[in-house]
Amino acid sequence: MKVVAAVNGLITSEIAAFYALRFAAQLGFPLTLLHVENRLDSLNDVERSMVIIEEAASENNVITERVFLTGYPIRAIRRFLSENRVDTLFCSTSRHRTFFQNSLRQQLTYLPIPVDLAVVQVVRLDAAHAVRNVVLPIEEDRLSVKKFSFFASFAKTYGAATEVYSVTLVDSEKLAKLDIHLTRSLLTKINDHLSHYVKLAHCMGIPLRIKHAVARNKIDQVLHHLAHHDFQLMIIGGRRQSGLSTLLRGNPIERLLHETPINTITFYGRDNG
Amino acid sequence: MLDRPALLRRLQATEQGLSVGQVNRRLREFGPNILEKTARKNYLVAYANHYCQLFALLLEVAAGLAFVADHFQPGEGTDILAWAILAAVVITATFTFWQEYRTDKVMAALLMLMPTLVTVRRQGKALRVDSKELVPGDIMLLEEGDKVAADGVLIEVNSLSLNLSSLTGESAPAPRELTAGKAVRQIEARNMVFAGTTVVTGSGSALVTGTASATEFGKIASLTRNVRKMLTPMQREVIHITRTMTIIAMISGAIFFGLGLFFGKGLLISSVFALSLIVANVPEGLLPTIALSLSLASQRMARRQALIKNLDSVETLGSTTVICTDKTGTLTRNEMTVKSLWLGGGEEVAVSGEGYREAGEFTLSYENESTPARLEELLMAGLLNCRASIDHDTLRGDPTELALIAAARKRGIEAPVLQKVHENIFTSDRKMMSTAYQKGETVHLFAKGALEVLLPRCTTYCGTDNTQQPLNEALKQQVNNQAEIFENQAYRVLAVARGEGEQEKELTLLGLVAIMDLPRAEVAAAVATCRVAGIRTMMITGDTPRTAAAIADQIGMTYDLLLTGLELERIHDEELEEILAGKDVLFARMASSQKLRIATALQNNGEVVAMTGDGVNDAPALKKADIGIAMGLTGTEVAKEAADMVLLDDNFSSIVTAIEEGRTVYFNIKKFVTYILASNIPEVLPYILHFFLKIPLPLSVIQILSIDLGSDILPGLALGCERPEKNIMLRPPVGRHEKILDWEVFKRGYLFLGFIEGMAAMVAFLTFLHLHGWHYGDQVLADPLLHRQAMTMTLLGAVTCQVLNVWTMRSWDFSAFSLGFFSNRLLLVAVTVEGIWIWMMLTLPPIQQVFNTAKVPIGDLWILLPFPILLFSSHEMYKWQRRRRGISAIPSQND
Repeated sequence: MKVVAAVNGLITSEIAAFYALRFAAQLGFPLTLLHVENRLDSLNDVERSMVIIEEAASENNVITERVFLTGYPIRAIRRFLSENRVDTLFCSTSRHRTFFQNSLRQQLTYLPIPVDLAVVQVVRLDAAHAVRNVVLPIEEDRLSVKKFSFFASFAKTYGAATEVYSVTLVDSEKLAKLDIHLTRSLLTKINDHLSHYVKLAHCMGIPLRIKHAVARNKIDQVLHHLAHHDFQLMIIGGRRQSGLSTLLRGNPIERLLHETPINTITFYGRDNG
Repeated sequence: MLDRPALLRRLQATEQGLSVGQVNRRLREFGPNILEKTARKNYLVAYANHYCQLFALLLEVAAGLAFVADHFQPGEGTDILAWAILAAVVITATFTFWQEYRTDKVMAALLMLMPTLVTVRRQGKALRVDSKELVPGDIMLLEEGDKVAADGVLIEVNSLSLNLSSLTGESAPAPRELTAGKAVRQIEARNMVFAGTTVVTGSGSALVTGTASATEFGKIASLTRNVRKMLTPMQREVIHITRTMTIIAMISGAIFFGLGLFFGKGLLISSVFALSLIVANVPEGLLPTIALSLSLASQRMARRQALIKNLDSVETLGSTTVICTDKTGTLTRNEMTVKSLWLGGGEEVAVSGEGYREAGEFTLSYENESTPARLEELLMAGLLNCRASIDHDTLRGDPTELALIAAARKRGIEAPVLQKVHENIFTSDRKMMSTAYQKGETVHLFAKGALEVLLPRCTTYCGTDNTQQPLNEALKQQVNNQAEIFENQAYRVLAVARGEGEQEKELTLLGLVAIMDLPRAEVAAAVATCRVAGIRTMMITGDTPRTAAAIADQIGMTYDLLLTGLELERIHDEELEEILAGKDVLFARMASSQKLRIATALQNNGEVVAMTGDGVNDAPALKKADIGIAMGLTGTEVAKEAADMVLLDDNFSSIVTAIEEGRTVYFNIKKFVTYILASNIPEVLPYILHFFLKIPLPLSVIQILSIDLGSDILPGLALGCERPEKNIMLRPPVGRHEKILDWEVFKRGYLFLGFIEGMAAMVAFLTFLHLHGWHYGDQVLADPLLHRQAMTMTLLGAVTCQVLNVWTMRSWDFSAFSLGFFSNRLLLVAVTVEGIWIWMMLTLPPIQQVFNTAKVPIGDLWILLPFPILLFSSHEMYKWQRRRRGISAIPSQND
């Protein structure tokens, strides 16, 4: 199994590759630096990025390889992924997007691919090298083992303290009816459901705490929490949905990615179908 | 920790800076360095909202019903009525919206005052670029006085210190280094610079690591979006008034609709009748008059240095019960001043003149021949040890050094041109600085710093005969005692010494300098006014308890308890609420973030809180407080964005002035609501009497609208511009549950003045008809002109009463004669315009046609005379009774 990082010579993709490198180092996997040749990217910049990542990889005892593909990017990547045993593909995303822009990241999240996908939103350049606190926001107790293991890998590789931030959504009427007793029983139930993760984290030697919030808007609440605390990395779970579905139903993650004040990795589980 | 070359390489940067291509690519990747403000206001939606207000909806339904009536029975004029009602809705909505829009634009202009240019190194060249073009990886070049535009890690430092108060609330300069130090949080890292902070001293360069919302500044800014605010008292009031009036209108409309059907008047007549009653009961001019009155008040306040962002906040000011205020810059001048000196010979010197530019005098406790020379040597030593500068229009550098320069200038001392040999910079660890100058063959060293650091380095002192005398332990104790005396008076104490050579040892102590950020001259009076007005004032400062207490004493701010930030952390919310319920607290050593807790606790106690702030960290508290007050001169953009009011001069006394204005607005609104309600009775009574008695219709709906949206508007507005009443700051604050539309307003408006006006209107109508041969029972008049003339008399009956009503209503408690005839010029204009309006309705045929009026014989106008006089004199009597019974707060002779 290998970890793949898509590199296009931009600083954001380079930082996404550093996260991939730390992930690969933690799991003992080799790191593949992948580039699909296209006229928009400077090959010099790509190669310079790869050199920097390879130097860092050798410091972390991670084996690297370079792969250059040609052709239509999404097809080339899917072919590469189907021909190789890949665990996770890391790619970066731009903070500012236009409505008509259909980036590689968007295409990768719309289409079924047979690997886990980690989309890295880089907003701070320095945060990839010193991560002290990692946060994983979830809705109530919805936390998959896949997502948790991805989150725990990062916590372990950086030796960071971790926090699972559970947000329970309620409407204003329900919020007004909540008293201490009701809230306590609600949060106790969530804690019970998440208790096995706490035990697992304890066994892995990762300091984990669970924090709760009851809110009317999940994204506002998470942004508020990030502003108040000193996190360097946030990991969130993403759901694959088509462009049409995004247009019709909206995608709250897009807003979170747009407004996040810290580096954020969105984790999409592999499509097993 | 990565070293400098590695860090630069990792961030794809070089010491030469980024290339143009890299900058453009990163701009696309990270976006511009602009903080996203709170959700942009959609003006179309805001305008549309005005058509969905309760009053507007009610009138829209009424217009719809009138159109339906016209459809089934055309030619009855109900279509004109429908259009008139719709016009009323459009006028009201447009007018109210326009006021909001103008206020928003004023604020937007203020926010443009933020500096926008930064210096960066790109491709080896130093360039001045727009701060929004800054990208991660850029190298920012920082100089004294610069505002930092992004977060970055330092790669070069030269005695650099920052003012981090906008983030941390701590105003002491924070020295920067190339290592992070023992930082737990990023904000504590000493090798970082942060957006929104200012370079106090030194210079340096920093590699940008985060821009826009990814900065610490941006993170806190986002907090303001999530703090929910309660409705302002004015919003609650408007809801209460509209709801009450709507209920009254709907009930009366429904009752008369039912009665119409019961008495067999038919569906159409009954609905038109009900409709007319609804229109008569709805004071259409109320909302635009409130909006305009608040807008005018906000303009008056802007002239008095308080810029109101949200119109409703004007009235909230009147309800303020607690002012939580910063110290630095608000209560004090934010300019350090040397107030006292102590010379080595034992003389104490008092220095007059405040701030950096005011002239001053030196008064000595006693002196001998050498005293002036020693005083000047002390001042010169301080001056030669400064990196700060005072130019014609700019101040650069540390406030303490600025104070030393200002003190030297008061004595006429300017720095001589000497060759600087060496400078030992000030750091927080060393707590002192020294500068060596070459003069001839000798090197002279001048040092200043904390006494506990400098005194051990002194072996001699400058004695009374201006010679060096050995500094023994007893003398050192004497110096320490003097420093303690100064410190007990909340002065910051600096020791000044000189020596020979470049070493900071074997120095000669020249004396001590006592420096303080002095209270503003007008603050003590403002605090006293607050006390009389029943407003509690609480200081929240990051300074030490001793300094806070000294300033509180100087300005007469009383307190029962002094709490520090650490003590506050140990107190539970419930306990804090309990303390704040009974005691005035002085908060010292507070972090900005603790303000939110204090504001919440006070609000939970039912207080209406005005909170001042300037930093980014203050923004959540400003948003939470009932009135968030940002500092216009020193405040950050985020604080101004979060606040309801911006103080253009950062002065506490401007808050008190604004509160006086707020109270005035509240009582003025109360007056014109009473005034407007009074005219509702002559509008409703004719319909009721027409329903129950056999008389012709005394007033048409279009005439009702001519009162509500015509003749009542300008005088109502003029009432909104009345000057503060004599007792305005003697009353207790307007209570959170106190309502504009209370029993007193209802009683005066409807039952007292309204009743007289109703009588006036009906007596005018019936007497006029009677004089022209009408007999009771004739419901339809043979002569339509006579009917129109009679209806005009009804209209005149109401309007003439309103003319004198507006004069007597100018004061809630005091005699109209005590206010001065010309003191409200707008009222004179309003009454004149009202007169012209009446004349036009009486004489101009097109206006007559629209409003269904006709010219009335002058000989019949005597009918109108008694009632306005009755109304005026009886209301004056009523106010006199109130004063006599002590219901009003009467100012004493001393006030």
